[in-house]
Amino acid sequence: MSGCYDVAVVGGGHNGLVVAAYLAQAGQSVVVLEKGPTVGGMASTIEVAPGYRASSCFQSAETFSPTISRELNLSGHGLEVSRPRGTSVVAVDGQWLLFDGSGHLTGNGSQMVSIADRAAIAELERLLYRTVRALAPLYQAALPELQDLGASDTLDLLRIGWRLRRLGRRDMREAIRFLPMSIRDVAEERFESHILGAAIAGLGLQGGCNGPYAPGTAFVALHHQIQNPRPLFSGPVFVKGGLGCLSDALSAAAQSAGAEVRTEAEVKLIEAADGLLQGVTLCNGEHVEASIVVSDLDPQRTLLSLVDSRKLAPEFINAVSTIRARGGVGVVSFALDGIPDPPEGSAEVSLSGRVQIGASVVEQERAFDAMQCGELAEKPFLQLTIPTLADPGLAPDGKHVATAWVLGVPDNLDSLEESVASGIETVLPGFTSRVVGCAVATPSDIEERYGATNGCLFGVDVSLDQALFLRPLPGWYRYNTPLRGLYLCGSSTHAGGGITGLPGRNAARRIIEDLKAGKVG
Amino acid sequence: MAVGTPFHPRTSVLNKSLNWRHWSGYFSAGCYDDFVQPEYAAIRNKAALIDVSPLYKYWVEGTGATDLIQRVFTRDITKCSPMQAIYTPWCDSDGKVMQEGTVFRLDTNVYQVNAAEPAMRWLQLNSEGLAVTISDRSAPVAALALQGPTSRKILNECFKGDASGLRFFHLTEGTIGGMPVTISRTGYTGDLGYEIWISADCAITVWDTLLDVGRRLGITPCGILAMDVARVEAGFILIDVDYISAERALIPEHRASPYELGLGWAVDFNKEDFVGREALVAESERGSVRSVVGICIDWEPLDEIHAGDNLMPDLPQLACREPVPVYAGKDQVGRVTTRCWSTLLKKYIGIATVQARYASYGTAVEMELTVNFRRERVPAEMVQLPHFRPERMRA
Repeated sequence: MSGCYDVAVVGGGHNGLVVAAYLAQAGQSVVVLEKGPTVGGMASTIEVAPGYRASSCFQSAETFSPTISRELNLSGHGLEVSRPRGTSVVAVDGQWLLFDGSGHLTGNGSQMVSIADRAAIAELERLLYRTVRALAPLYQAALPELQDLGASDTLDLLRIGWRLRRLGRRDMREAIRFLPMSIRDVAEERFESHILGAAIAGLGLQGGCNGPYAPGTAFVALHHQIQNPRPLFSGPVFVKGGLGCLSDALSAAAQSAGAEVRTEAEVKLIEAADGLLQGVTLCNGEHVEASIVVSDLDPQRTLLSLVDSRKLAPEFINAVSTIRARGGVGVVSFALDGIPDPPEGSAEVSLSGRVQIGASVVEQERAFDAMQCGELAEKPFLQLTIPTLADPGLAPDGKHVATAWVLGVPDNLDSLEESVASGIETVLPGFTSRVVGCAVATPSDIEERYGATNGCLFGVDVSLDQALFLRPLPGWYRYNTPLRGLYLCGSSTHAGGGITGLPGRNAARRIIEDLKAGKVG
Repeated sequence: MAVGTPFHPRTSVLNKSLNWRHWSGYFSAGCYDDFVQPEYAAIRNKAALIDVSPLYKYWVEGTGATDLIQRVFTRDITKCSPMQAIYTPWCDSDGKVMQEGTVFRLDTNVYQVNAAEPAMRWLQLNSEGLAVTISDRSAPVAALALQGPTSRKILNECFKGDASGLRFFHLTEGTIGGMPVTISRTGYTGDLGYEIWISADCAITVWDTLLDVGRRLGITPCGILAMDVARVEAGFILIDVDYISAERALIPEHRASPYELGLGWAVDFNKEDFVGREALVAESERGSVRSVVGICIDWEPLDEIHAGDNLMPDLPQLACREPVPVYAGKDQVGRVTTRCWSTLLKKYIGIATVQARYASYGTAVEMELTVNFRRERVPAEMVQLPHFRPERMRA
């Protein structure tokens, strides 16, 4: 069996589905080739134990682009999302700092946080919001070609420059200063409260493998805001049925536009001859013909494993193989026959959003120190979500699932679940006894299951030196590759790093431009 | 701190002049005696024994070895049978020369790559996805160049194997003094000659045997300064002297393509994908802007300029690596990268890089020269390389 399409998309992750939907809408015949039994990859829904379901890696759709939701009519394709659920941070002494879904302090927050700190939160939100507004247009499209600036590209750049300039002298200085800072320094210089500092620091550590003392972690916090500006602590947005339902909705949107979505179709080789893409060969030997191939996989997996490296310049291969893509995040989902009572003095709301366990900046840093030494910290740094509080359908009646992101997980760790459960136990006594099943994904599991190099959740690390014109690597920030007709659209590309869909949308627009210009196809 | 080669126990005793040069981190005899001439004369009239162990040597083996060699080098290795050798440049993906050297096909899937500069990283970079092992045998393999008209006779007397019928750029295996050696009919002098590749622990025995047997036939330990004169006569370019490796060039203009180095003949478009192919196809269609060419300085005007100052022409007895400008009219059109007095040809010759339109043979140019501490220009002529190539080199 073989097929012939205009475009073959390698990998049915959310960006692969987005690119397929937009290209199919533009009239291209598109096939999505996903190796797993369902689409979504790191944004799919898995079974934790019989009757218990949870999102596979990513837990929340808070960063997903509202523009894409609208343009692809995802609600019409079955997507239902919760309102933002807020953030909680558990202090060392057992005190809980709570933010509601609007990002406002709630519960006993007023006793814990000074007026000055409250003003400092508002001030930081204001600065980030203005900066994000200035930079957001850069994320909404492929970046202009710097080598060969056309009139419209020049205009785009000038517009960005003008927006930055309009921040005013003080805010522009602060915004520029903010980017390379460590999130710890941001917390230190702006906030009195240690627990608030830890909450701020948590924003800069989302899924990376740098501790809060690492320079550039402030940028990470900003990066996760740019894609969908929102209050700093508004917390997660759950998808009904788990994040897999977001991918299913994208898949439905792509299919209704005419794309074909095939699962259990693992690509073995991307073929090119005489500088032109020929299509792909699947692991079962089937050949799928296409003159354009878009890979949702990371650049290392795509260009070093799926392409005959002789088609690429050795200097380029070297650049690809030295991109930083690190794991460091483990995901542990627990099936629970109930949740322990929330701690005294706080309502159930404290558990319904994202609960950060590891409430001092120093403890957070130690978790990453331990990882560097190949160990899991004694007190692991956890971000816990209990999606069943918003979406009870994920578990049998009265039962729950809870998923912990464990930050600072070394490679090749055997047992993660026990340390994580006992970490949760310290702040939620009785948790361990409620566990009836669990599903674990260490960085190496993530690499194996989803083809993510080193288990990196973002394709390549999110950092200043791998952002914008440098993402995924210098000179190749416009979704194309040295092989004409081969494009990247994954999280590793510009505007990616998290569940946003923007790389897929930008890549699709870039490909359509190239098709119109006769550069491919 | 430089170290001795495997021959150091012998060369250090012979090197009475203490004229040591550093070559790739090794002590290398510049000239064993006070004068270069006798050593040079041995290359052209008898046989010179030159320690070339500092060369970098890499073994490329495995089912993907041929693919790797095809990818890296500009020539087509499939035209080369086992126990045959080629001389070839290799380029970066802009089609600029990184190095040139020899590649020995020792077996269908076993190659020896000989390079002037380290090449391990480049070979490894290009081996991504290929079933190939690359090993650096620069230290464990010693090498001797036996060069000169009597070299064949010397080998005939001490080499157990068939050297007499060994054709140009072919290889053979056998023993010398009981030690296993590989002999290639290659060299850097442009004369009849061989290179002998030996395991470092057998090096001394081979050296002793060759000197013992070769004494009657005029074998002479020879330093690299004499070899440098011979290679200029032979028109062989030298990396980082006559051209700058693309790896080392600080600005793009410093790089050179194989066409510019006169190595266009070694670029084979009949094979698929090799590094730099696209850029080289474009250059072969567009033409090159520069060219490496021979230069010969006119004697009469040189003599006259010196005579004006009551001086005798000052002739470089050693190959001079200080580049000097070449002019056509008012404009500088290139540079002479190596020059020397050829005692054999009785000519002041050199290797130059000039703009392509001045490269045709017979073009009159001027070379800058300092006479009596004054800058002068002496008339010179573009000539074909090599300056000297005896039939015996290939015969």
